Amino acid sequence: MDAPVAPRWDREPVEEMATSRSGQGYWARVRRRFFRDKGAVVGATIVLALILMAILAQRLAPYDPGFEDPNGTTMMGAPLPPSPGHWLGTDANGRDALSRVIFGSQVSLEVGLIGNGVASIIGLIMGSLAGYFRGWVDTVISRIIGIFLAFPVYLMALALVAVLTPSITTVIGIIIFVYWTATARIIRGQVFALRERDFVEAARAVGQSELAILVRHIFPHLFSTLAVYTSLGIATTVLFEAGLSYLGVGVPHGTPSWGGMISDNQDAVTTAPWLVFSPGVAIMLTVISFNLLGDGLREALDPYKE
Amino acid sequence: MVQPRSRSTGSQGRMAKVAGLILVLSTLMLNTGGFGRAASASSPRHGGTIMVSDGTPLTTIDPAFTYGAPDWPQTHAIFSALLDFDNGTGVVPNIAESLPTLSSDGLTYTFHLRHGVTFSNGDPVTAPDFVYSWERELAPKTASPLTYLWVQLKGAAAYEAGKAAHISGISAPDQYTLKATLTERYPAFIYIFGIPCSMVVDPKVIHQYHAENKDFGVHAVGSGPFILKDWVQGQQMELVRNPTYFRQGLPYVDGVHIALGVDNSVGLLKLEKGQVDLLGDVIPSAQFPSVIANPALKAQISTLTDIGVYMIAMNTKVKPFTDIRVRQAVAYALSKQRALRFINGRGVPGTGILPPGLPGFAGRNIPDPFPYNPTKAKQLLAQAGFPNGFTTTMGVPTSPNEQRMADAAIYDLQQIGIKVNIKPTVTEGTAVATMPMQAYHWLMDYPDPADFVDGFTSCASAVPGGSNVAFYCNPKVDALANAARGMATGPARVTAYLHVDQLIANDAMSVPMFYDVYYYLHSKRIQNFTVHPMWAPFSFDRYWLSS
Repeated sequence: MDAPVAPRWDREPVEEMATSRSGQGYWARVRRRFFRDKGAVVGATIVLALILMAILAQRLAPYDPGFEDPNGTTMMGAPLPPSPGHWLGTDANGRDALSRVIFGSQVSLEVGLIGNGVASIIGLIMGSLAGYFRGWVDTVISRIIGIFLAFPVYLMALALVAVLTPSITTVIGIIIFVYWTATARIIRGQVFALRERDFVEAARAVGQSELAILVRHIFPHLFSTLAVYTSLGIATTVLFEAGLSYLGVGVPHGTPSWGGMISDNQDAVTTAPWLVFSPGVAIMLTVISFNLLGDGLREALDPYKE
Repeated sequence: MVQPRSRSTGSQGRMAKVAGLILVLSTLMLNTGGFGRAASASSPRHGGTIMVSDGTPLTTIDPAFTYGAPDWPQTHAIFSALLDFDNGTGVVPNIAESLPTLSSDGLTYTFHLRHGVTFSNGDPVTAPDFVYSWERELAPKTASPLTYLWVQLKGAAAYEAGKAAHISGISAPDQYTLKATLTERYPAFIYIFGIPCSMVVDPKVIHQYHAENKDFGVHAVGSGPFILKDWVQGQQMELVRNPTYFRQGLPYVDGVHIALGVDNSVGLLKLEKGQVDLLGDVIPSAQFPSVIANPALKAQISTLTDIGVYMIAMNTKVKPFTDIRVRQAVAYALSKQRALRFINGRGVPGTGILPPGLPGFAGRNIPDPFPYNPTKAKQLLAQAGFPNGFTTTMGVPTSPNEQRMADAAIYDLQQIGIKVNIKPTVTEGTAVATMPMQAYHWLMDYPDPADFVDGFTSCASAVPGGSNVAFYCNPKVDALANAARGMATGPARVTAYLHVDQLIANDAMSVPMFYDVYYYLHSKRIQNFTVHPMWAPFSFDRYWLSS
């Protein structure tokens, strides 16, 4: 026997989600709300463009990002300004800046998507367990979250990287280590509210196990939150990776990364500013577009809206 | 000047006041060059404070410990030695009233000290003070990193090992006579008497500080041209003129203010604005091309060819660098011309470990044993059993030239299949038995080939913590080097050392990449600025300010 659908005037959301019978209508409404939001569309377009750029980097980049052109600097080692041969000029090693910006997207997106993706899953699990089971489970998990949140993030990253070898995997690991807590807290709050809902009680009455209720009934309500916060989180992790690479504890020295480019070329900011601005603009565009996408998703998926 | 006081009133008093006013005004105008150049470049002007900005951290100015090149200029300002250096690498008398006499067997130096030389606190400087200073430095419990400079001193080894109460090779027959005896002939040893490791310290002050638990390295008392007035580590150092300095009329300036830990690019901006006279670091790489191209700054740039060598060293005791073919492959793979671009072209390509700037070498250098040839490099690697290259690690210190050199080298090695991981190291002068490669710079302690060869290629130096990062040991080369060391200075000795350099080069324990050239920028008002080979970049006692 199915769980009864609650009446509207109980201040229930306009529509149930995965368990609702009116699934098709709901998603159509989501789509409509999303595409009405210009910011969200712009954000999504740029994100898509960035992802394509990262995937097609090999094809798009005019040079290998690590190629040090023997004529890529002046005899005195000064970088070359933008020219037809090098649209964004070269750096002090003779490497093409445009190619490095294009390939840098791979690092930022890889770190952002994988790091955030895994962090979100861990956050989902931990947050749900804490919010659903409460009691000592919640206490323990909340304390752990509290401890992690109290750590100065960059210092912890610096300490970890001193022990581990700098690599994309290490950076992703650090991001997972640090950022699962953000998702966990939000999920925990959501689950707190959801577990009081009638359909949970009804499922219990029918004899379903706690775990089954959690997975089959509560999780589906969390996916939209997860989507929103993951995409907002990517913006933060892209900045975090850029910061780590800037400090020299991110991806290995030489791997093209936007933060690394800013760090490598900071001394040249007065003599060759394009070398610092181009990765900076790339970071800015990525962060803005993911933020717009995340905000757009949140608005579109909000079950309380018409 | 004192304004004339006049008690007279009326017209006489008024005239006196006008005369006084004219006197004051004309004196003022003279001082500011209003009547023409009162202080010309040729006549030194006394007074003023030199403003310095230095990015490199200073660790100590204690003569027993000053190993790092950045510490030398300040140590030379505060302390003094038996000898000093002229404008180049020639030794001149200092606290010693004349150059030492050398016994006929070439082993014993006798110095006669000037009378009347005092420490800045008034204590007289005597020969026993030198004995005290050197024994303090070489005492086992001091654990000075400078013991390698005194190897030829008789009795030093036994004393350092704790087996003797005194160094038998030094003695002070009277207050103003000092004798130092060597275990073997070594003409270059005379330089030791001019560099910081032999500068004299006041025993009374050392004992007093020891009792007060005060660090002498930070609150120094010396006999040099300046007194250390204040030193806040990492922030600033203040030097003031030493009124008791035995050289009359020196230093010209009243003091030196050194701002420490200032980023080099920031320092450069301050200098261009006129807020700073000198920079402790060379012109930063990113700004170098524009500074050199600026005609207004041309007169403010001073250069000096460093008597030192930059190289990529390979640990001959760690695989795969135990195989000479692998080392040769690395040597063939590295482009020195390209590496020079990475340091703004500030240098000449390296061939051997002995820089051509050494006195007596007259620019002579061995031919490049492994001219750039990546194809040959790949062949050698394949012969050695690495057709697809291998992965290894390189220690790289934080100094900009070494980092750029390493960047250039690592890229070149990548092209022949050798993948290099960088491991940041604090200093290159501490050999680690397990480190396969090291970016390395040897700057002379004194201008003699023996300093290079004995310093980092001898079997004796091939110990963990020593300077021989390649752990290179070739007994045949050692024997030739030992023989060359004691030869009389002259063309024959130069030829002998070039032969040693050639043999070391053939063993390919390192790839000398370049000998660098310093480019320093100074303000317009600082006069007589030159970059001294020993005290680079500063010899404060020789400069004066035009305003």
